[in-house]
Amino acid sequence: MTPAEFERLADTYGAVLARWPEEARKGAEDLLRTSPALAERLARRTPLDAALAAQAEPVSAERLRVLQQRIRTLTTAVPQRQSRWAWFSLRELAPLAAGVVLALFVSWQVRESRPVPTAAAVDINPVVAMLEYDSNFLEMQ
Amino acid sequence: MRHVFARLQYPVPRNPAPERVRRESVQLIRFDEASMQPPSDEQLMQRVVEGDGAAFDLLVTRHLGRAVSLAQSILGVAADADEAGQEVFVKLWARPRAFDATKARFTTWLHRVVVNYCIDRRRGRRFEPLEAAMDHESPEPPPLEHVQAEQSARAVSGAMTALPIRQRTALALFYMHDLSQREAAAAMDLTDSAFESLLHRARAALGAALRAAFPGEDT
Repeated sequence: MTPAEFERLADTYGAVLARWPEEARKGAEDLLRTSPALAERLARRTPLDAALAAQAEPVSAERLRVLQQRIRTLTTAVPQRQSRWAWFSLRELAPLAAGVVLALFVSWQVRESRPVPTAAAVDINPVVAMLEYDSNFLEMQ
Repeated sequence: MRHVFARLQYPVPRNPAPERVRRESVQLIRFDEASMQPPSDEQLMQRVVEGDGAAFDLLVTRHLGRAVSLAQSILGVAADADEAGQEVFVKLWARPRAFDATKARFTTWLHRVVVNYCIDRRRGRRFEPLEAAMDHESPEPPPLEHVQAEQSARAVSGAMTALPIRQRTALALFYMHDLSQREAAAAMDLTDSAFESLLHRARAALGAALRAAFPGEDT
């Protein structure tokens, strides 16, 4: 670990080496043994560490008691909900899925087995009739 | 087939028992019958999934203080923190299956839920400065050793309020609530290195704000 890396870690995790990531501690301890100046610079982070730690305000027992009572009242009125997908497991859905696949396969087979209509067999009379009607109508105009 | 129908019941009829019965039940589940150890949070959550109001009460007793304190560190307002604690636990009761014991410990998951709630709430309420705009280098630690503890606590509190919510959250988790780097990263759903980077920026920004607050004191 270089002194620059050490300084960066100190600016991140503060003055207590025990709170640094485990993989960085060994290198930091080795560096501190060889450089008393770094130890002094590390110690200068202590006041900010302490000021930050002092910001955590404990919640009073009375406040917690009131909150707990409120939560109890609310949860008495709130029914529990299962997850939307908790109704079924995959194992339970398997027969349904198999049925759907089978139905799709059968319908595809039935469609394939129908005779393909030839061009002659296609009834186009309604279309022809409609076109004739349109042309007659235009002539009348 | 009976198994299937048992799972199809919805909503599961799990109305909590009357208050008196529930309180007595809490006494009964203080120790696991087999091991004579207090039940773990994960065991209690399993019972909450089954509709056990007493197990839920015990979880609330164990963790409400921690959740509210963390929310207060992030939100900065006691009333908002109370609401956060209440919302988180009511939702936990309503949707206990949101917790998956195979993926995380209960406390890790709870921290994450509280953090997400607080960040969502704060983002919805006011403009948050971009984190990049608060990215400072920190050439010197702030000069708090020359300042009275009460004064420095007030200054730190004020400077914290001005930080972007994610930076404030990182500081709160690591420095105020003593989570390890890994635990705090998990609570914020970040990688370890991303959390380290965020914490570095947060501490640097805080240091810059405090140096500005005590310009004459710098060493």
